[in-house]
Amino acid sequence: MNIRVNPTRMELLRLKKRVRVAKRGHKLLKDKRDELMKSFMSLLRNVKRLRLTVEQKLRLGYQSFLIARAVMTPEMLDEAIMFPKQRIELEVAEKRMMSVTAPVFRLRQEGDVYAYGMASTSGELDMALGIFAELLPTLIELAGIERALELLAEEIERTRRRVNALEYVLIPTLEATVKSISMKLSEQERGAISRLMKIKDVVRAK
Amino acid sequence: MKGMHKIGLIGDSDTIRGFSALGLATFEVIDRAGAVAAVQAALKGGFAVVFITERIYPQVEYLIRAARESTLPVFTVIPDNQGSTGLGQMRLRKMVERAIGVDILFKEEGKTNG
Repeated sequence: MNIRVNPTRMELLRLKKRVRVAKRGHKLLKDKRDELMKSFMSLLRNVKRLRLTVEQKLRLGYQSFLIARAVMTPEMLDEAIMFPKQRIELEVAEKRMMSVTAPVFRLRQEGDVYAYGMASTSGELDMALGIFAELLPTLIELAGIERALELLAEEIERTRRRVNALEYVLIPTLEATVKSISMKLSEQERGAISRLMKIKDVVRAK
Repeated sequence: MKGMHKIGLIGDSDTIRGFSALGLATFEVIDRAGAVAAVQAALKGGFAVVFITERIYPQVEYLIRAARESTLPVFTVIPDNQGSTGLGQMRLRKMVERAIGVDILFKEEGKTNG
């Protein structure tokens, strides 16, 4: 596949420059892709581990909460947890890595999880809430790095497309065009030389 | 996006109960319309992280996808109290497939040496 251009020396120089730029861009993008891949893989391990822990711990939490609900009357349970004493907020910062901006969360906790007296509630509720409270920082961490992973995945896909477009479309096209122009130019040159030789012969024959 | 943000949880009544005691803002969801309303509220309410249970997520996935351009809030899928449907892992696997082209995450455990 060629680009349609005039077979002139000017065009040839211009195209050769474009090939050089494209090749450099290709190399840079390829390096970026490899580096993205590296961070993706290391992040992936973390996310996978965190997710498994979260799912396991959540199951435990739900189970003990179920038990708490079974021992207590619904009214008492609602009363106990209706007004949380604990206030939580998230501090959000940004972290940039390889042109991907991911949020980073920091948990701020205030007050106590156990917003009720001892008398009307069961120990099982304490346990369940304890598990949830312990799990919360992990959950937040998971939210942050899972998002980072998602963004990285998107960036990798984009970068890979660009690398492939350069490698398999743009660069070969440019190179083919460069080649065809230089062929045409040398053909012209040969034509000019043989014409000169012919003219010389004609002149000498006189 | 700097500053303090809230944490939300969208789930069925049994799932959200334990978390509401921790101070999370919870949205109780009973049906599909409720789920849509909850997500819309969560998108506007100044949340940084919104947890959503695996059983509700598929119903509102289109909404969350549409809002993906904005950095916050971050939606994270968690299992509800009836156990995991495997959606969280599934999403992880999709990300890997997108980034690498093949699913290497869960294969490496199932197979021994190729």
